[in-house]
Amino acid sequence: MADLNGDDEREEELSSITAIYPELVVDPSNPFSASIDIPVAPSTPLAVLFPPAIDTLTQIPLDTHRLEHLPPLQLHIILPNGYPSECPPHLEIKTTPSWLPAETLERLIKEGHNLWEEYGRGQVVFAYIDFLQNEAEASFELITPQNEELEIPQEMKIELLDFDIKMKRKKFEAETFDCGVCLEPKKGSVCYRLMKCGHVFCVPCLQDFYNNCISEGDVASVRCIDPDCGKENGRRRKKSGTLNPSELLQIPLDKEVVKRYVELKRKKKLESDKSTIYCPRKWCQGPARSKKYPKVTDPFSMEAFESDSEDESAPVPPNTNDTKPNPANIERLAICEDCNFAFCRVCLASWHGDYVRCWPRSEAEISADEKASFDYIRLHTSPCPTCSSPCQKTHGCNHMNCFQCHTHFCYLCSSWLDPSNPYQHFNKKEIGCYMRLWELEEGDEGVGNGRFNGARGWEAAIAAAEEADANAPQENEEVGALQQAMNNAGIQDRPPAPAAVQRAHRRPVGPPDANAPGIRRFVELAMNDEEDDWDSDELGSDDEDWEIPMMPQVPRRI
Amino acid sequence: MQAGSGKRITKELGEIQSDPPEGMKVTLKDDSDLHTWQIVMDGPEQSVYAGGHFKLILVLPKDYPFKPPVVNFQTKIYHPNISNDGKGSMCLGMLRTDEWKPPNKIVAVLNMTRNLLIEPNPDDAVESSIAEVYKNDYKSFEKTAKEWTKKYAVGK
Repeated sequence: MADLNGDDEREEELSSITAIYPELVVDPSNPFSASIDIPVAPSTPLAVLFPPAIDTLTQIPLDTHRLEHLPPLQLHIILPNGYPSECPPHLEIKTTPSWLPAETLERLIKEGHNLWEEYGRGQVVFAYIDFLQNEAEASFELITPQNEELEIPQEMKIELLDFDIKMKRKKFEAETFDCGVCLEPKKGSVCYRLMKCGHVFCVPCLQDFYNNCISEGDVASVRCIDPDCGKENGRRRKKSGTLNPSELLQIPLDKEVVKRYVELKRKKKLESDKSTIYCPRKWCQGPARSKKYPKVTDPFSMEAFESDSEDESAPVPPNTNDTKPNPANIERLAICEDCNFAFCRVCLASWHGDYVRCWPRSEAEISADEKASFDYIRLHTSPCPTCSSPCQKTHGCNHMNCFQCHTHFCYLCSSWLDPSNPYQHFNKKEIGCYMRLWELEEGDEGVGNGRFNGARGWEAAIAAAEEADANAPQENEEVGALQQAMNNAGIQDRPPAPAAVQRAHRRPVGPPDANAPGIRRFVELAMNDEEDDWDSDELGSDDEDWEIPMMPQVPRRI
Repeated sequence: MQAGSGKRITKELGEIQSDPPEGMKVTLKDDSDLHTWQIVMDGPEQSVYAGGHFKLILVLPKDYPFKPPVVNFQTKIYHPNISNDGKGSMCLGMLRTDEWKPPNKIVAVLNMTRNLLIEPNPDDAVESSIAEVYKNDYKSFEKTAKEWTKKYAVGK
């Protein structure tokens, strides 16, 4: 503070500038020193690349970010002794983080000195601030036809993007919007701009509307409220699409509501997909687990919804595997996502393993050819008791060895045979196959239909009963005809359900007493795929009839 | 919304009453009920309904503006898009629940209704027989519409 005249001139300059730029702060300890932040908001957003710090061999495509706001220029001016007539102002410029290239900073400072010369070594601070503002608006000429993007080191990426978002938000909050729903002018701070289309509504209206839609189950309406939104391009209307759960949380909507939204959307998709299989248990009827629509574990993750927009723009071509009436065996396994019941998607019975031949429950689902081969297999093959593979004998005795699982079994009744002594089955008087080891020696096609027991016998009985019913409709009740045909066919064995067949070798010969209340109840429950609280132990004394002693009595649920 | 709903309706009513759409008189049916509006719509000059005064009731559902208003013609009218069952209901365009968007306003509904009198939309008709006549035998349509207007919508 040597020269009094100079003092006045320099102080005067700075104080007059604070009148124009109130954000100019004069250093309290030095009246000739001042700083100002000059915002950088280029008129055209600055295209920025963030190349990775380390050169990687793999070419990762870099995305260009267009930043509307960048951290400000921090200008520090010191007016030295002898300014303005003898000395130029002392200028310091920096940015935090230092995104502006050093050579640009140098150029800007040099320009300051040039300006001082141009002004005939006069007061130049105002002109210089003005110059920097213009430079900032023009992105400091960083973008040239040769250089369309500014490269900024990777480590500043988050900070810069963050700054850009914050400034946009600040700008948005300062604005006023007319909410199209409540028709009130609202401050940006209580408004929300929809991500996809940019339409703005006030938060309470959006909350009310979307909560209402979701509670009513009308998830398709959870999209932009604007009447013309998405209509500009005619057909592209669908693209504006429903909102992401993450966006709903941002508005914000309650977590519970968003969860319901995600679940409803998935449910709608499952329901509209014809290939969806539902659990055959009547009390459950949940959808089978599906890769296409995985069960939502985290409703707030974006991934669950990523496929959503694609679905809406281009419907996924139906998966032929899913819609084929008879998928390969390995694809038949379905597991209910609600009760975890494993079942076959074709026959809807509980899962029977890969090698079992099964057919749709409804005849409408199979073609005439398939029906014919199904009937053929049903009536002209004997199933293996272990794996149910259909077998047909071309010649030889009735002791069979399954080609699939090597189980020994009886061709006549599909009973499991003890591999160490398979022939005793044909030597027991009380068994229907007594002395019949060599029946049908030429194969069953050659000699005609033999007397079959077990699964094959039942199929024959059912076929005969159906025929009888067809010939004499209404006369006999179906059950009556069936019973009759079974008697005719000399059937004395169990029903042909694969599970029953598998266990056939353990069961005593002779029909179970169907009138025993426990068994009847069991059958009823089984038909409905239900469970109850009964233990098998309560079913009565039929355990005693078993040939193989039971393991220590572990209470078992049916 | 329920709280804001009344505010919006009051605002819309104020706007409509201070600057009523062409050829319409809008009042509340009962001053204590903001949700039921009564409109008298003049048959547009260029239409077959010219000279008639049609009474409409516009009911705003409780969750307006999230659900569309319901418009009924109380005056009998011969029109393919207005039901001829004593209810005079209309259900097309923005009045459909799935088409309605909350920023739509009542004034837009009224203008749409008026435009519908000028130009019926036989492809989206509730009265298909009237739509057939309109499409195939316009003269006969015109005649009946004018008769009905005279009979039901004049001098009341």
